[in-house]
Amino acid sequence: MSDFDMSQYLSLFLEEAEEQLQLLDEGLILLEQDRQNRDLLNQIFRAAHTLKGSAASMGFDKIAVLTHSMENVLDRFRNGELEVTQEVVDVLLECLDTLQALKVEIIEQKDKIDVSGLLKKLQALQEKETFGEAPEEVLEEVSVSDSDESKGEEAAAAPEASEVILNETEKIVLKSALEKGYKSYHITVDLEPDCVMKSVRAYLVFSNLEKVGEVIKTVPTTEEIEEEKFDYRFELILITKEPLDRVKEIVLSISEIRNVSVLEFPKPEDLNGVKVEQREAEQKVKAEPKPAGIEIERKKKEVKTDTPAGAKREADKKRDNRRISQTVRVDVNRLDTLMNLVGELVIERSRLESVGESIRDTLGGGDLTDSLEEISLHIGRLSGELQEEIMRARMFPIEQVFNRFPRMVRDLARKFKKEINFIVEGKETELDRTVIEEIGDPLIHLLRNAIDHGIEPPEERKKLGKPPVGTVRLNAFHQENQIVITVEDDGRGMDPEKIKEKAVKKGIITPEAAEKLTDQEALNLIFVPGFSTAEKVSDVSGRGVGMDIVKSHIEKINGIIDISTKKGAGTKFTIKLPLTLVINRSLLIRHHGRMFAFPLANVVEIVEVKEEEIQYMQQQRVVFIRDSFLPLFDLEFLLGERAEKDHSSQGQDGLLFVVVVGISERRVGIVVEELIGEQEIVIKSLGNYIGDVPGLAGATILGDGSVALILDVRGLIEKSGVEK
Amino acid sequence: MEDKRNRTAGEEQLVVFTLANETYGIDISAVNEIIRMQDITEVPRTPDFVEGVINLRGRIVPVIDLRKRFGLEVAEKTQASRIIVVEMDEVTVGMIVDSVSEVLRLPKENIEPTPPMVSGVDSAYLRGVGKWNDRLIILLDINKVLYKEEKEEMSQALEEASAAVDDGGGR
Repeated sequence: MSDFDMSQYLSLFLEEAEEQLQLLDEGLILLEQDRQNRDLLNQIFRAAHTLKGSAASMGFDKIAVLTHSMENVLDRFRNGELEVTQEVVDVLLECLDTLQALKVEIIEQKDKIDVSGLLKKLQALQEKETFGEAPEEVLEEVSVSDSDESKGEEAAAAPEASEVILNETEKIVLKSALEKGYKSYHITVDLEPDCVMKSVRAYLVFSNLEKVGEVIKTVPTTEEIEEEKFDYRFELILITKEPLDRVKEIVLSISEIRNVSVLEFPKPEDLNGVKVEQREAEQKVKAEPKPAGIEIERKKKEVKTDTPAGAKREADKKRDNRRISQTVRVDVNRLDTLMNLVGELVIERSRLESVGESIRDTLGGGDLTDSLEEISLHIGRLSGELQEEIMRARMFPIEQVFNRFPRMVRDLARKFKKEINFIVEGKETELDRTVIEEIGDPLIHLLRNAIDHGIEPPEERKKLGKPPVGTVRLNAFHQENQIVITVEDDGRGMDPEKIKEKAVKKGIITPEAAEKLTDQEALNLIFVPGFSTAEKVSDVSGRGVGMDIVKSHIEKINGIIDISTKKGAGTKFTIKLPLTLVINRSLLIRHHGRMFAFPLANVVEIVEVKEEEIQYMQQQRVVFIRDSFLPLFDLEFLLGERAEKDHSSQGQDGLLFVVVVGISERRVGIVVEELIGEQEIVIKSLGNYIGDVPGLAGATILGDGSVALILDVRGLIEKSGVEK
Repeated sequence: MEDKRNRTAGEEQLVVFTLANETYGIDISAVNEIIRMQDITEVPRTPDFVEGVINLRGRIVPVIDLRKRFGLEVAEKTQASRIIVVEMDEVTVGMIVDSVSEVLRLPKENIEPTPPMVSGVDSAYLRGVGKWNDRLIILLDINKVLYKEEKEEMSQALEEASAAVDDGGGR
């Protein structure tokens, strides 16, 4: 394996590891509740197994060893030798945390984490007698340091090829391959008797051979080999174009291989003589039979080494043929590039259109002009569709985020001694990956709060006549052009009076101001920095940084958050988010020759103001609109381009256009020269060279190819100094 | 690609341009493309040498005015003005120059270290001076041009020594 560049595979490995860890995490949480679910158990097993395989092939021994031990424990579940208990699941979850840490270790290229303590715990679980009448204890050889007493039976010096039986499918594959001039070999491999992690060796044999051909059959089956249900010998049939010696060389290049024999497999004319086995019959393990307990538990598995088309796909085949869904991992940058290219296409198309118009003007209409216009129209439609498809490719199901939560909820529930039924709905709801990246943290905060503060302890719930198990519900769904995510609990709810009291005590508002607040306004106080409803500070929530951070996170991605609560009955947070951060509906304006875009989400209204309506309050221009004074500012001032506030932009005929923008309760009027209209724009960053500019959210390219700056209303309002 | 081979063979391939009547060269491997002047959208709260951003085939690319960057006298853009688009460490920046004259291969032995004050430009931006057919080509260090923060010193220096280049670097 040393001859290839590992770094190339590292990111692939890390992604895959993340995926498998996620599966393990989910699976274990579910298993804890549904202890008899065999399918689930198998799923978990497979995830651990895949992780082990890829870690071993990358040379990450600690991960491989740890997952191997986990597998052994899981295997005992499967064999009914060990009961699924909270304690066991705890240890397995601890393993997951350690694996996660090991992953980080790989990224940081360190080697600090010691897994030996955990391995001992696992070892103890492996040896633990749960059922007195358990079948004869089979101590599977654990690859961990201590138990490498080599097994008694010595492999034969020169392995003899035994008879390999092909099923119908395999026979067809073999036949068609031979007809195409491939060779097929019957390879018998003997591992060193003291070989640790036999399955990994076997895996290396497979993966190296699959670089030069196709393995169409193994004895025992691949799954059995992966589960180490073989001794030191396994056999396989390889289809390849490589000569016999080369194949032998490949196998022998792997360490801990004791011996290998490579024989030509029957020629086409002999093929009819190859024994055909019934498909549904289970493959017999040729090697030493395992104890009965395992034999019974083993599920019927199709011997699935390859598909009939396999021979065509030759060496470049990836090793993981267990993957079910047909997906391709694509770097997001590629999608962005595609998006840019489509953007260019749109721009060129509008140029084509204007060229068409000039042609019509100068040369007059005609068939050629007509078809030119038709083509331009068609290109326009195609690029529109293309844009939409690429947008869709950037969408992910929110599952990615939601799947992390069951584990967290479980741990928190145990920590706070609460009983919680966690319901997750709408996992499949899709949204843009940029939104997905941002939404995780706020949701974690909300869930923690719900568990820590919302749900009462079981005894208290019983006293209140509530079911002892609290419910926390997380839901996501589409609503018009938005994604709505709700976090709901049936706990104590929030009391507006108590919140006011607290806010006054903390000096957030004056008692007089508190008096005037409506209940809803009082609830919104929890989003004020420095406010925390926790009676006592716990290490997960109640640090007083929670809710204001939640709110600012959500506003950062142009979302809004609402609370509804009923004292004693629970609290519901509703988050509304845009479908995507890349495309935004905006109000385009022109100001002193420059184009700007206001995100429509922040535009409250547009008003026309007569110059004589403008008044001054403490040197601040204001205008009286609907019972309140609205402060007016010039865009240049808010963008920090001019120091003086009061350089009045002259409108036409004494009329000024004022765009009223707002974030929560803060409202500011911005005087602009010309309104262009509403438009969907693609948000692009100004890049690292320019960096963040206060008041700007980025730039966009307009239909005519010119660049408009996208305004960041939050930044503008901050600059204005307008508070409430 | 070719450029790299040539460099090892003792040559440097340069994009040569002019700025305030002086000849400058930058390593061609840093240059993505050279485009004509186009509308530049001014961006607030940026240093004054940052002219703004342009749309480069769907990408937003910042553009700096090299005259302003070097504290040289600001001049009107002409038909000959060009934007040289360079890429350094994944940052793409356009640089406005008076004109682009040629691409040439300069033997390494023709390159000398930067004299203390070779032109109106602070020597900190330079990585050497090349001689080519009796002409002097000032070799710019792109990284420094993009990131060095010493504008004030620079503009001061320029007044004193703008003619220094003609006598071969004033050594």
